[in-house]
Amino acid sequence: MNPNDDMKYQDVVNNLKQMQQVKAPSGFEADLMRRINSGRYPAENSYRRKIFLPYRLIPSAALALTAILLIFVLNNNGTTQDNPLLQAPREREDSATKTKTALVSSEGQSVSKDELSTSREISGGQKIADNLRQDKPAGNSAPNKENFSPTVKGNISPAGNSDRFITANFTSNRITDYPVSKAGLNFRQINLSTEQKVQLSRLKERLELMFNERSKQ
Amino acid sequence: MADNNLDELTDEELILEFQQNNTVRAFEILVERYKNPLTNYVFRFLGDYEACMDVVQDAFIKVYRYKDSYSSIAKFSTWIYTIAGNLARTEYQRRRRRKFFSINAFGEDKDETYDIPDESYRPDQITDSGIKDEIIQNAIQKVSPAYREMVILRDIQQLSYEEIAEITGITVGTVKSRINRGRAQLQKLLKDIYRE
Repeated sequence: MNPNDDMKYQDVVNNLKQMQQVKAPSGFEADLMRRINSGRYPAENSYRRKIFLPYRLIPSAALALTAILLIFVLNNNGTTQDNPLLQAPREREDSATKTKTALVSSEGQSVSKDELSTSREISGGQKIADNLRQDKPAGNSAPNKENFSPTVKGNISPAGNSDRFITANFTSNRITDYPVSKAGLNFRQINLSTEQKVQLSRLKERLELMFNERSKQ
Repeated sequence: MADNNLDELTDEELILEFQQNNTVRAFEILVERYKNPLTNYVFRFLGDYEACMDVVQDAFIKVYRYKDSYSSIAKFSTWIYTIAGNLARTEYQRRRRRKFFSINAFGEDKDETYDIPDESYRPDQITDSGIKDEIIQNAIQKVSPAYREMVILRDIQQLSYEEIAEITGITVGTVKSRINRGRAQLQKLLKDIYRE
């Protein structure tokens, strides 16, 4: 503050100084002592009460309300549930390839999860083929039996530059000789119960019998 | 201590007497000494005599109830001005909030009030007899509260910068700067008076 400021505002200062003094009323002391003696003190607001006074809560309540409304509005827009029947089925990675390339762990070394799943598939495929062979009726011997009997051709070759893995290619020539690609097929995976599996194997038997009869004709 | 002797004691000695011996007469003398300066200060700040009287009474009640919280290192005048100033600021904020939420705030004429007219004794009307005083008082009410308080304490109550700094809890430099700004605002508001 400059020393000249007092001079600059001299008029204002003088006017303020010349203002008449406002005095307390004559009965001020009596009123005060009456209030003190009667114990009518101004209520002291506790800290908790000061915080939770309604007018203090107004801004925070408004903010909370706005936030809740926004959440509701945004959620309603965002949670448009897609009809699962109208959605394209999820494509399975393992079934999308034409030929399966399996990485099989060699010689008892540690096997990764992917490796295990692939080896399981291979053994599973062989198992199905074996089952189909066993399920075939004993007396049903046909001249071109081999054309219709389920066979799995295994082609195992060393893979790439690593000697830990071997590549196994499996193709089926049971019904058709052309390779079947599952890419683009609209299917879904169902876990069959034992009864369903039995029913399915019976259907397969019937189908094979039909094929055999046709071929005889 | 005899009552005659009490009148000769300083403010600090009186409050000590009241603290130590609970001498009500010492408190009454302090009330006599400070009732008018505090009334003037609070009235100039709030601009409402009735509210001002409540604030000043509350300030004295606080002194009475919390006399032990006064420490002799501070001046009594500083202490009581701080109490009155805090109460006045609280009252000012309460009134502003009330005005904001009241029906008047939504009316076309903001100056229109619905208060019941009070014909009782109004010293503010007697003291503000001159039109000039009334104009100045209205101009003071338009100054920002932070500057207004400083200008009142300095130019009306004639307190030193150090005392004002102690009362308001801010540095002397800030006090001077706020006084300057308050005076500038007042000068702008009162330019018509100076032209005359």
